[in-house]
Amino acid sequence: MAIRRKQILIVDDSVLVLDMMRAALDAAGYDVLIANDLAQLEEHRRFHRPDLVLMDVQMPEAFGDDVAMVLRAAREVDAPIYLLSTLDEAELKRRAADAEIDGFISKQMGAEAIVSRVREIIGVGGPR
Amino acid sequence: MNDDLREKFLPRFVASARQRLERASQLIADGANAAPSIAADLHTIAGEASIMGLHDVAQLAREGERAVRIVGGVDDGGIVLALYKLWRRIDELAPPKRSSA
Repeated sequence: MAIRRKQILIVDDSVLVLDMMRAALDAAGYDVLIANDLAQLEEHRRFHRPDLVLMDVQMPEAFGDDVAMVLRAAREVDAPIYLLSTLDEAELKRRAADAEIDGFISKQMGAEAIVSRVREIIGVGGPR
Repeated sequence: MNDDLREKFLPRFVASARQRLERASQLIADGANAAPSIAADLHTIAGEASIMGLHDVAQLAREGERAVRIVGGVDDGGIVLALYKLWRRIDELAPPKRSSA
């Protein structure tokens, strides 16, 4: 029986951040969907059911915590939603609480620690 | 980020950061009121550097971003100095190629 790899949707306006996180998470056994803007986010939301959403905060089109709040309030995403940003932890904590989402992960931890945090949240990835 | 991935992505990071710093310098030289744009570019550099584990680069970018947001404009020596320090650090990571004219 095939084991389904857990799926993570990352939303960030930096293509480089998306590519780096996809590489790090793929190496850890996760499937990764990436969205560089709200149109791509909407596309993935309609056709996939990720196990975790990681959302940047400061993006050109909108603040990620505002977008997350809309998704959560409309019950359009069942998965945990975490902010993923380089903002100070105190501000991330406040924004996550205000948006009534699940939490935050600081980019300042670096990719390896972010992957470890993801593992704590949704468990290990599947086989490669 | 492990060494293999860092090595793989470093050239893209350096090229992108240089492009953003050149844009910021040009806006300052033009006297343009471009604080939000420069702050956003510095924020992006900080995020990308953080993911790569280049924490000193990320710290310099965050200091520059903070300076731009506090001053609210770009006609401030502290901002130019922050950009200069960041530029030098990027050049240490990957020395710029010299043209053989």
